[in-house]
Amino acid sequence: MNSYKKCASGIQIIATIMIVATTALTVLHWFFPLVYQAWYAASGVGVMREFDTTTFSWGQKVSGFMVEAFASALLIYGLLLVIQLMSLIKVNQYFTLATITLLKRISKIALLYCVYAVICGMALSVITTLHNQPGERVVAITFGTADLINIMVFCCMFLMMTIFQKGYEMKHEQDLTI
Amino acid sequence: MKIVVKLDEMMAKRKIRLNELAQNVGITECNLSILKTGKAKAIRFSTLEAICKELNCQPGDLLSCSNDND
Repeated sequence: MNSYKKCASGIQIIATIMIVATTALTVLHWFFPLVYQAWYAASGVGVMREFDTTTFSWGQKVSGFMVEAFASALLIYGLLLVIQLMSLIKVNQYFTLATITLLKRISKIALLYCVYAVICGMALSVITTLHNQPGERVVAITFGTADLINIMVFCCMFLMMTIFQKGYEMKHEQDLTI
Repeated sequence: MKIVVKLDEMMAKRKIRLNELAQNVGITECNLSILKTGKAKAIRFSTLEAICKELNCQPGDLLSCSNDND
């Protein structure tokens, strides 16, 4: 198998693991926090949050989960598109309409994820401090390194899509050259 | 301005069929059909030379330029 096909297979495996992990860890963190903490302590896999959901009310847990689940859903959808893209690349479909369509969708998802990450952080800061006394509730608007990296990823994806589109046009012209 | 391919006219004059011409020129019937129907984006000189040699004609007999209004 060529090296790029091995790479595509590797990316598919990593994406699949990330889908499973994202789903499981999001549910565990909000509804089974003790299990999540035990898992994190044992394996180190996951994110240690600044808030502890064990003391939250059910309303806070459900609303926090809904907010974070949307972000997870975007990530999972993006990863599913990446898996589809790798499948196309493995069958030598590099510069095709299907590949370009997938790259466009991945770019849009990446952009949406960047924007939503900031909104999600803000919403979670409100939800996780709702149980505090009035005057101690927090609305935090954060924009960190991870968000900048996400924007870079979106820009790279957009550039890749433009290049693939150009490649498709060149291939199409080449196909119609007798 | 548009390039018009008159391959079908020349094939009729020389009384040669598409599959025979494709085989003699060394390109697929599909590609020759694309050329004949005017869907081709470009033609290589080697292909044009081979077709002209087979049909005993000049490139100008196969290709012409027309205005879009015609």
